[in-house]
Amino acid sequence: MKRVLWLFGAVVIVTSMIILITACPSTKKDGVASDAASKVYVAPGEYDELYGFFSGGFSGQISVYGLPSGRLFRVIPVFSVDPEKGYGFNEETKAMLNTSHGFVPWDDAHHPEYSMKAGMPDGKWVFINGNNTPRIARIDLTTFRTTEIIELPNSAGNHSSPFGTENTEYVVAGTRFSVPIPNEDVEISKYAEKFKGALSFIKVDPNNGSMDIAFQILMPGFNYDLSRSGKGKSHGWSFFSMYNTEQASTMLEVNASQNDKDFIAAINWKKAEEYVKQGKFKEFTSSYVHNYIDPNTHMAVSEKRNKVKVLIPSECPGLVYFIPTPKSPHGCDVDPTGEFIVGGGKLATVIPVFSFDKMIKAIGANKVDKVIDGIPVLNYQSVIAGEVEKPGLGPLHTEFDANGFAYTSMFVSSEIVKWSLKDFKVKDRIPTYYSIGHLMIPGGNTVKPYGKYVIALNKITKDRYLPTGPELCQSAQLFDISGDKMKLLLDFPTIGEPHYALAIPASLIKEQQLQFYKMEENKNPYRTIKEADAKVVREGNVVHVYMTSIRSHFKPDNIEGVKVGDEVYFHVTNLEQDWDVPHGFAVMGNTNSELLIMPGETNTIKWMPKEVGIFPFYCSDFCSALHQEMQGYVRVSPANSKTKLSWNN
Amino acid sequence: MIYKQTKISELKYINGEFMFKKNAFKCKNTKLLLSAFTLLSITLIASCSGGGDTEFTVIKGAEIGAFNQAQANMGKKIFSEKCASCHKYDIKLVGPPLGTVVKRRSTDYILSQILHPDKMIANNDTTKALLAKFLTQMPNQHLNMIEAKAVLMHLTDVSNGGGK
Repeated sequence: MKRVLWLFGAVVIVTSMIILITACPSTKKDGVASDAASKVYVAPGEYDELYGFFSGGFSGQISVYGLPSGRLFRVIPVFSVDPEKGYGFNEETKAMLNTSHGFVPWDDAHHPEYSMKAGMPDGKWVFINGNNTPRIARIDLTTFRTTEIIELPNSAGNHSSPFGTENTEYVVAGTRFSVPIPNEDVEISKYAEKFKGALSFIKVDPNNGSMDIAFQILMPGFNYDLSRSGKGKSHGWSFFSMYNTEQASTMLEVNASQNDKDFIAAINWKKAEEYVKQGKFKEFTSSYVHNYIDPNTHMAVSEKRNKVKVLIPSECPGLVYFIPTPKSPHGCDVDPTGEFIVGGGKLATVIPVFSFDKMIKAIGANKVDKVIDGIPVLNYQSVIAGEVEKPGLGPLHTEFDANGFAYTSMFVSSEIVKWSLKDFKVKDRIPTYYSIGHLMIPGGNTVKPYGKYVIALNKITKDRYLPTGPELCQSAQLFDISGDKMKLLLDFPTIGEPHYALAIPASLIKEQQLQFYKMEENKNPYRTIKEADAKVVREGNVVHVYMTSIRSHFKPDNIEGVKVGDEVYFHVTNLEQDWDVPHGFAVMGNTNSELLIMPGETNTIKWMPKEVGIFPFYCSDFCSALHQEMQGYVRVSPANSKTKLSWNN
Repeated sequence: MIYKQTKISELKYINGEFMFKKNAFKCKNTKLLLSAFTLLSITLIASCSGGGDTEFTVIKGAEIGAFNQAQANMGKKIFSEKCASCHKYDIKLVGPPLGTVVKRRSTDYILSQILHPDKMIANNDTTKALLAKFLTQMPNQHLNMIEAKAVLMHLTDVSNGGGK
């Protein structure tokens, strides 16, 4: 009887365990909030509350997502060519990718930054840095197109960029790799002696956004990593983190991790403006290229420049101060009040939080431990406001909410840590999947954060998605931060590496969209504003085809008299005058991209016919029920043929 | 339905929108008010009992006025830039020939078709039938009312044997 009871008891226990296990709410391993779906669901036909601009890292582009839904709207080509849009291929945009090294069809795009007024985004432009061949690009938010790219001289690896000031007086750029300035043929072992770092301040025209390098500051040969500009009380200052104060030139992994503290540089840029005004700069010769889209012709213009104003800290007292920061700091983020500067030390065990007020006091009281190349190193204890203890492993970046909390990404321990700016104590932590780099709170770098979310930008996804061969997708994760506890709501894969992102309220951008280019404002020198003007013109072996497109035909659509060896330019004008009616244009065998021409715009593609025969061309963007009929032929005759140039009109 | 009522009021083009003239129904005596009412009722009934909606136009009661050569010339230029890719005067191209369109369609229809092709395709049975025949939806070329009237003046000129 006893045994039966035991058996019965065992059965009951096992059964209830099974029931308990299977009936457990489906919180999965990562504790997704039970109301996650409803919090990120944007019903069909409804709009998202935010535009999210995600850098593509090594894709060189920016992708635009709706938030909170994570729906992808658009990929904006910036530093990398994009054959889909003809960017970097058509004659209008090729020059955008010119540099002092020639045409560079790719870059590594890291940090989007919005234009601001009084510390809040104004919805006009997004800036982004090109890391590899140092550049900054500007994207116009009425067209979602890259309209300007400026190269940075005396720089190598533009990482700490663009991070603008409160009213976008400047966007900044710090060189990740120090190099000889001017660049020259020297032994690498002479690093400490010969290599320098340049921090650039690029002036932004408040009316048209046009960029111009105002001045550079010549710094010791360290690695300049990240930056933020001050706001509120610290407006007028910019902060740059740095590592490799050891000045190693090989195996930095080991050799640049020796010092207990590196630095965050505090730059008084208002002081810099005074020094420039007083003429206390040196003019350096260094070639760089400035590219922009002419607003009338819609054609890129490249200008070569070769002079830049450089300030030397030892000759400009009060311009730069070093704040000792443990240990190989990465992020240096400024809180919404402008009082706190948070260092993210990759190898540090604490998150150091510096006080702007204390810094100003320490400068006044000359609390200087030593001087490096004329730059005072402030006393750590005099500047520190507090240290966040046991935050996790590998603190990188910090963003802020509107309620006095900071959120720091932990790369090594793959988590976000929420802590208070009042007592510098950790309040909450949540895992990310996996290896979070930057994180972003909508408005988290402004004076008034407006986001209910924090978005993790992850380097690795491992087991999170269906696998796709050797390379797996990278991803973003969206967390609810409206309560005390962070809650995971959504994972979504991204284009390239989602290095950093920002989010702008949709209301700021949605209403200002350019719907089409007005034909009467089209000043492209190769435009054809009516079908009757379509023509083909030969100038030696150069053939210009002035073509029009409208639903659903090209004019001309039969062209004869083109010869092998000719250089043919198709200047195609889209005659449509309505929103969202682009036409495509593609020629068989063209070793080039297609054109994708917006209404009212003229785009040009080059074609070098190499063989005799008939070559069809067609519209590649589905435009109407008769889109398949939108085609034409070019007859290519031998080089010595007498075929007369002709076309139908 | 709102467009139907405009038959007895005056349509104004204000800030890019067609709006009623504010005091369209403000009548000086009851007799006029009554006749306005009667007219409105007739209009409403007529429009409801018309079977399909071949009567639908966005613009109602528009007048082009007396022939004006300068206006016609302006219309000819606009026609060549914004319309001629798809319309000839005497042969079918992408869309129907327009040489005598003023004889087969009303002023309101033509102006509505130029200025609001999307609304016409959604609501007017004649336009729907034309789309079924020609298959290419007429693009909105974003002309304004003055430009559209100039095009109409040009088409009037052409139908009278001039203007080509």
